[in-house]
Amino acid sequence: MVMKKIFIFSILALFFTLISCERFIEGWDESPNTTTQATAPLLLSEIEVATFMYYTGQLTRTPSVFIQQTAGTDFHMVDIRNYTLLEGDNVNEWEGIYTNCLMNAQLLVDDFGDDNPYYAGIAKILKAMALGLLTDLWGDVPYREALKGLTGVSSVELNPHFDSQETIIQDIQSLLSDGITDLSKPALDNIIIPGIDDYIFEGDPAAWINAAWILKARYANRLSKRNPSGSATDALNFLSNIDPAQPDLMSIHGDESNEENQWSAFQQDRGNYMQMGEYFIELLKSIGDPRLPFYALPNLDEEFIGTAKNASNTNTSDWGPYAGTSGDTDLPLATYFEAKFIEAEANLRLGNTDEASSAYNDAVKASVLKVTGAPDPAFEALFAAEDGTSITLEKIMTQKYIAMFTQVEAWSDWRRTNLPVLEPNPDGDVAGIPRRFPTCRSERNYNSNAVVVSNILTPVWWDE
Amino acid sequence: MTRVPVFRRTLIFPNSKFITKPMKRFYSFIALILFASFQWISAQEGLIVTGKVTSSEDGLPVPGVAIVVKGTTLGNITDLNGEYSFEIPRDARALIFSFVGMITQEIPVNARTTIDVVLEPDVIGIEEVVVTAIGIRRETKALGYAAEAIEGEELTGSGETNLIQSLASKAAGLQITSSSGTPGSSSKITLRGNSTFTGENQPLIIIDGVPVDNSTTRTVAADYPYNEGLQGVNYANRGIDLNPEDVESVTILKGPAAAALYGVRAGAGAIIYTTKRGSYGKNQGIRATYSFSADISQVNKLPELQMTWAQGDGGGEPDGEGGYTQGTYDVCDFGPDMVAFTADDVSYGTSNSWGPRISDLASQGVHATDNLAEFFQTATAFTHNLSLMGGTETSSFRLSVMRLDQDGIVPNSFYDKTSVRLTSDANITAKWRMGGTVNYVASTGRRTQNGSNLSGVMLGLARAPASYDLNDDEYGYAFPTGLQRQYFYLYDNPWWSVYNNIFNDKVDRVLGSAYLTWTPFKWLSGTYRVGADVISDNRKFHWAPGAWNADEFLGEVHENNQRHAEYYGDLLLTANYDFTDKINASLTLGNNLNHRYDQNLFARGRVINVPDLYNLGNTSTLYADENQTIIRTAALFFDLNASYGELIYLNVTGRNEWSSTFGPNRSNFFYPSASLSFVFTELLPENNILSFGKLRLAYAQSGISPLAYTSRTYYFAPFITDGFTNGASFPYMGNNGYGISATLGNPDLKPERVTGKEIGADLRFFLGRFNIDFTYYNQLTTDILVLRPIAASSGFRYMRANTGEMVNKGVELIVSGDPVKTSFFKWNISLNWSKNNNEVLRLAEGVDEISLESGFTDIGSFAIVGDAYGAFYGTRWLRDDDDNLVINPSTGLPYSNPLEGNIGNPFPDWLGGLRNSFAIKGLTLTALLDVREGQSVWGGTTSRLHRIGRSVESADRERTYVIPGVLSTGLDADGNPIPGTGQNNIEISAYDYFTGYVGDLGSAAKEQAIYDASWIRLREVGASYKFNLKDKIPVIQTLDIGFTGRNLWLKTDYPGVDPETSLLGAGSNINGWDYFNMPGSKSYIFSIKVGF
Repeated sequence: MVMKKIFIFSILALFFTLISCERFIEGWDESPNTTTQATAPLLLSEIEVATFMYYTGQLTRTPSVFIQQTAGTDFHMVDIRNYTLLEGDNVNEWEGIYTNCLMNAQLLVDDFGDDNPYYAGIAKILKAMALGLLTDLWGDVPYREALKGLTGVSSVELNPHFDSQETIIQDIQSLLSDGITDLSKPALDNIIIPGIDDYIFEGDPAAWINAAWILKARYANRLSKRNPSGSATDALNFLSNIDPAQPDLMSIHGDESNEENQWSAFQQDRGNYMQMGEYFIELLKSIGDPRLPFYALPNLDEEFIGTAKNASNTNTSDWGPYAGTSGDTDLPLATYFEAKFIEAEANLRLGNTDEASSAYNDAVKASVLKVTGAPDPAFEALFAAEDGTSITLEKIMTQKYIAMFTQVEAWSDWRRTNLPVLEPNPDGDVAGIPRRFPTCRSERNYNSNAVVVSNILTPVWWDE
Repeated sequence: MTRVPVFRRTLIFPNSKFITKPMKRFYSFIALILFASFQWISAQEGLIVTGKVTSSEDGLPVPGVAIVVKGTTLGNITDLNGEYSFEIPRDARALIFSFVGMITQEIPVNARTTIDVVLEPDVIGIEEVVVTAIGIRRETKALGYAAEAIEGEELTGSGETNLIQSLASKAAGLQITSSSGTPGSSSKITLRGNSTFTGENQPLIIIDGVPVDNSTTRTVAADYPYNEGLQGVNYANRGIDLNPEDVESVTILKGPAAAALYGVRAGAGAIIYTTKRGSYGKNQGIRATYSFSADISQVNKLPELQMTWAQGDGGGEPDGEGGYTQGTYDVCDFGPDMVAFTADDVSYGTSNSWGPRISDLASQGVHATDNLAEFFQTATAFTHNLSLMGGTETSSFRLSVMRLDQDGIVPNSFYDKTSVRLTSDANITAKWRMGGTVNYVASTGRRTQNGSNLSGVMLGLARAPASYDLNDDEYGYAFPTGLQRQYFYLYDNPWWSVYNNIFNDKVDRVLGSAYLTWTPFKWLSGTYRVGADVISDNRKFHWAPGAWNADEFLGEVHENNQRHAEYYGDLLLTANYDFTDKINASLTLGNNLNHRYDQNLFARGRVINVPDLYNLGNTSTLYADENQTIIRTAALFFDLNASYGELIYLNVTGRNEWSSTFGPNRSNFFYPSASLSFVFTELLPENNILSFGKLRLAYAQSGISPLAYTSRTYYFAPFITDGFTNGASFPYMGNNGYGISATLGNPDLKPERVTGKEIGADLRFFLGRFNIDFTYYNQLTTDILVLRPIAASSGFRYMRANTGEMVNKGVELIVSGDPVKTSFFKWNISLNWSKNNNEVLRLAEGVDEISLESGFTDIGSFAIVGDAYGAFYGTRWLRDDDDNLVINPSTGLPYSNPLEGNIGNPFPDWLGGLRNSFAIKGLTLTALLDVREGQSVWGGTTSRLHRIGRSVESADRERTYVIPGVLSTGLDADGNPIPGTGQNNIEISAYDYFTGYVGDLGSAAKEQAIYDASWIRLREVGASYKFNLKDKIPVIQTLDIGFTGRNLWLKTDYPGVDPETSLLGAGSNINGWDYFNMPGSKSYIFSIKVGF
C-alpha cells in the first residue's frame, strides 16, 4: 500500500512539475522586436521599393553597357564590357527578385488580397513586372512551383521546376489581366485603400490599370519573333485602353541616402566604373538630339564624348540629370512614349504604315517632352515627321533605343530586332553581344531541378 | 592542483549511521515535497560542545577549521586560538573536522561536551573538496571527470583587474586571450577549444551557484551594414565588474561531463567561482583586512618603424642610372586659414612614406619624430580593498568594499570601479539555515578608438610619417581654429582624437543570491536558491566636429543604453543513505527556472549644432533603434552519487530542459552524464611510492542553445541592394516597409549537442611530493546550427538547420610537485600543458565553408569542412606542386591564386603554464611562464605598414629584391599561368616588393601577412613577505607586502604589438586578427595588505 501511494504521489508530482516547466517557457519564443504578421501597406511599400531597386540597378547598367549606351571603364564593369558575365555576378538580384519582390507580392495577395482587391491588383501587376524582369534576362525560370518555402522545406518546396518562358509570359498576361479586374472593382469592396504607401500612384486605380495595359502590350509585342502578326494584334488591342492623360509608371526616389536614384548612387559610390558610351553619344550628336544634355554631362573639357566599347577612358561624359545626377530623380519604368513606340512597331508589322508613322511621331515627341520638359519643334520637324511611306523599323527602333535609355527594355528590344546595328566589342570574351544572363550560381548549387544555361549567347525563347 | 577550504556548508552529507525503517523515511520525503509542511520544525534542546584543534606537525592551534555535525549542515569554525564552541543536537553522533591540507577527521560525540582534536597533515591532497555543478561539493578523489581548482589568491596575485584575465595560463585546457592592454578591455576564455560555429564558445560563469553575465556587447546602430567589431572601441567583458578579492576559489569544469548539469548552457564548459564568506564563532570580533596596490603599466611591444624616410611618393624605385629615386615630399597643407577643404588648401598630403630622406629636408624644418613612442604614457592604477568579517555562533557576515582608479597607457583613457559586497549567513534554528549576498558595482571608463577606424589611435599613430610630428611644439595637435593638425586629409590625428572623439561608458550592476536550506532529517535537506544579476550599461560617444568619420565633418553623437537582467531559481532536494558500511548513495533532485532579459536602445544624432554640446537635442538628424531579447528556460535534474568504500565512486546526472529558444515543435531535451572514479591504490598494498592513484572515466552530453527568435519567420524592414551601392532601406520617403525575412524560421530547431568522452588518471607519488594528472577527451558537437543556403526560387535564401558537426580531441596534463620541502624552504613546481585538435566534420548539404562573422573582404574567419575551426580564409599566392611561388615573368611578382582558401589558424597547437614558487619562512617567490605554440595571427598592421613604407624593413629601399619562386612559362588555354622550373631572378624595386608582395596593395595575397605568433612570456613574477605581528604590536595582526610583475618578458617572432591581441575582442568568434589593434601592456604592481 505504502509503495503504491509513494508511486502515485511521485507520478503526480512529476506530472505537475513537467506541466509547469512547459508553462514557464510557453509563449516566450516569439520576438518582441518584429512581427510574424505584416500589414498590406507595409508590404506594398517594400515591394515597390524592391521593384525600383532591381529595375534601375545593376540589371539595367549591365545591359546598357552591352548595347553601348554606356561604357564599362573600371573594375567589374570592365568585365561586363568584355562580356565576362559570370554565374555569380547577379546573385543579389536573382535572389532579391524572388525574396523581396515575388515572395512579398504573393503574401500581399494571399493574406490581404481577398478583402482588398486594390492591393491585390497592384501586387499582381508588380509581380508581373518582377517575373518579366526575370524571364527577359534569364529565360526559363521557376514560377509555378516557386515561392513555397513557407509551406514546407522538403525537396518539393526547395527545388521548384523551371517553367518555360512561354508559360511565364502567359502567366504575366494573366497576372496583369487579374490585376486590371481587381482594380476595376468599386472602392467600397476594399477594407483599406492604398495611399501614400503606394509610392507610384498613391492608390489611383485608373493609373494602375493604364500601366497594366502598357505592360500587357509590352509582353504581347515581346513575341514579335515568335508570332509576328498575333503579337502585333494583341499589343494593339491592349493599347486601345491607354489614356494619354494617365501618369507614367516611375521609380520614385528621394533625397536621403537610403532613397536615392541608383544611377546617381552608382555615380557617387563607383564613379570610375562607367561612363557614357561612344556609340550612343555620337548617335545623339549626329542627329542634334535635344535630349543629349539631359542624358549626358559634358566632360572636363566641356565636351560631350563617350568612351569606346573597348576603352577605359574616364575623361568622358558621365550620365546627366535624366538618368540621375541627384538622388531624388525618378526613373521611367512603363511610359506613354513606350506605348506609342509599341503601337508604331505593331502597326508596322501589320502593314498599317500610316498608323505606324503617326504613332512613331507621337512617341518621339512624347520622349523629347519627357526628357527635356519641352517640345523641340526643330528636332521634331526632322525626326518626328514620318509618314506612311518613310517610316521604317530601323527608324522606330533607333528612336526607341534613344528614348528607352536607363531601361532594361532597351536591351530586350535590341535582342528582338538587332536594331540599331551595333558592332560588338572586338576584345570580348564571347563572339557577339550577350543575349541573356547565365543561370545564377546559387540556383545552380541549391536547386536540384535547375536548368543551367551558361552560354550567354544562347537566345531566350522569345529571341529564338 | 590547488586547494579550497573544506567547510561544508551545504549539500554534501557524510555517511550517516542513523538507520531507521527506510520505507517510512521515503514516505516522509515524498510528503515533504508535496506539502512542504512546517510542522516538522520543533525547537530542540541542544548540547554545547567546546574544544580546541591543534596540528600534529607543530602542536600549534589551527584557526579556521570547519566543524560539521555529521549528517547535518550544522557547523562552526575554530577561532584564532583554534578553539570552538557551539550547540549541537542531543542526538548528534559525530563531528567532522576538516581543514585545508589536513586529513578530515570524524570524532564520535559520545555525549562529551569537550572535544579536542589533533589534525594530521594531508600530504597527498586527496581530501580536497571542490565545488562542482549546481554548487555541489565533492571530494577530489570522488570526481570521475577533470575539474581543476584555483585559489582566489592566485587570481589576485596576477595583478589583473579583469577576473577572467586573471585565470590566464593557470589551468590545463583553458585559453585566455586579452584583446589589448587598454583599461577595461575584454578577455576571451575558452575551454577545450570551440564547440560551435557562430554561437557562444565561452563557458558559463557561475558565482555561488548562480549564473552571471560575462558577455561582451558592442554599440552598433541597426542601420550599420558592416561588422562594428572591426572598428569602434575595445568593449569590456562583463566579468570585469567582479572583484577578484571577493573570490575564495574557482573550479574549472572543462567538459560536458563536469558541466552537464547546466544543460543547454554548458556546451562550452563552466567556471564556478566561490566567494569568501564570514565565519561562525563566539567572541571572534570583527576582523578587518585592508589592502592597497599600486600598478604602474607601460606598453610592452610596439611595431618597429623606420625613421629615415619622409612622407611622400615616388621613392624606392631604380632611377635608371644605377641609383634609386627619393620620392617627393608631400604633406597636407590646409593653407593660411588652417581649415580643410577650402579654396586655399595647398595639398591634402599622402598616407605614404615613400618620400625623400628626412635628413635632406632639414632646411624645411623637417625632422624625424617617433610619434608612436611619444604617444603612449606610463599608466597607473590604484586599488583599495577593505573587508570586514565576523560572526556569532549562529550568524556570520563579510563586507567588502573596493575602489579601483586606473589610467590607461593611452592619454585620456581610464577605467574606474567601485564595488560593495555584503555576504551574510545564519543558522536560524537547528534545521533552518539561510544566507545571501548582494553586490553593487559601479564602473565607468573612457575607451579608445581602435582598429580599422579613421579615428583609431594605432592607425593614425603607426601610419604617421616619421617626418611629421603629430604633437609639435608650435601648435600641438590642433590649429588655433580648434581643428586638428594632420599630415593627411583622411585620418584623425590620434592626439586630437583621444581628446575629441570620446567614448564613455558607465555601468551600474547589482547582483546577488540568497538561499534557504531546510534539514528536517539528517539524511535529507532541501535548498531553494535564487539569484539576480541586473546590469545597466550606458554608453555615450561623440565625434567632435572636424573628425573625418562623421558625415561632412559636422560631428555625431551616439547614445546607447543596454539593460541586462537575469533571474535564477534552483530547488534542490538531497537525500543521503548508507546501505552498508561501505556502500553509500546520495541523490539530489532539482528544479531550475531562468529568465533572461536584454534590451538595447541606440540613438544617433548627426550634425552638431552648438560646438562642445554633445546632446542628441543639439543635432540636426536623429535616428533610433531598439532590440529586446527574452529567453526563458526551465529544467528538472537529478544527481545520483554512489560509492563503494573509498574504491569506486559513480556519478550519474540527468537534466531535462525546456527553453523558449527551441522551436515550438520541440520544447524540451534531456542531457545525461555518467562518470566513474576508480581509486585503484585501494587495492594495492600500502606503499610510499604510489601513494594514491585513480582512474577517471566519463561520458556526458550538454547543449548549446539556439539564438533567440530563430524558430519563426518574421517580417522586418529590409536593406535592398545589388551590392554596388548602399541601395534602399526603410523608412523610405516617409513610409516604413516590411518584407518577410529571407531566412526561414525553423520550428523544429533543437539545441546543439556536445557529447564528451574523457578518460583520465590522477597519480600521486611519494606522499604527494610528485603528482601527475592526465586527461584525454573527445568532444563531438552535433546538430550545430548552420544557416543553410537554399535556392531563392523557394522565396527564401537561407534556412536554419541543425546539420553541423565538429570534434575537439585533446589531452591535458598537469604535473606538480615539491622538489624541496623542509620547514625552512619549500619549492613547489606546477606545470599544465594541453593540446586540442579541432576538426569541422560537416556543415550542411551543399555547404563546405561558412563565414563565422562578416570580416574584411580579402580575409575572413571560416569553418571549413576538414579543417580546424576559425581558419583564416583569404587570398593566396599561386604555387606549383612543390609549393614554390609562381612568378610573373613580366612583373617579377607572384601570381595570385584565383581561389581563396585556408591560410592559417589562430589557435595554438599546444599551450602550457609553468609555475615555480619558493617559500622561505615568510617570503614567497613565484614565477609563472606562459607558452603558446603554433598559433598564427593575421598581421594586417604589418602588411599595411610595409605598403606605406613605414615598416622598419621598408627603410632598406635603395636596393632591389628578388622574390623566391619559379618563373611562369606562359598561360594555358584557360588563361592560368604555367609554372616553370627556372628560379626567379627578376629584380624588382623596393617599392614593388613592399607594396605588392609583403604589403597589401591590390591583389597581394593576405597569406603573406599570416605570422607565427607563438610566444613564451613571463606572465607573472612575484615576491611577497608575510610578517606575523600577532601579539607583537597592538591592533595589527598580519602584514603582507608584495611585488608582482605582470607580462614583464615576452619572446615572440610576431612583428607588431603583443600577439595576445584580438581586434574583435571577447564578443566575437573571430580570433587572431591584428589590424591596428591597441598594444598590450606590462605592469609593476606593489601591494600591501594589513590584517586587523
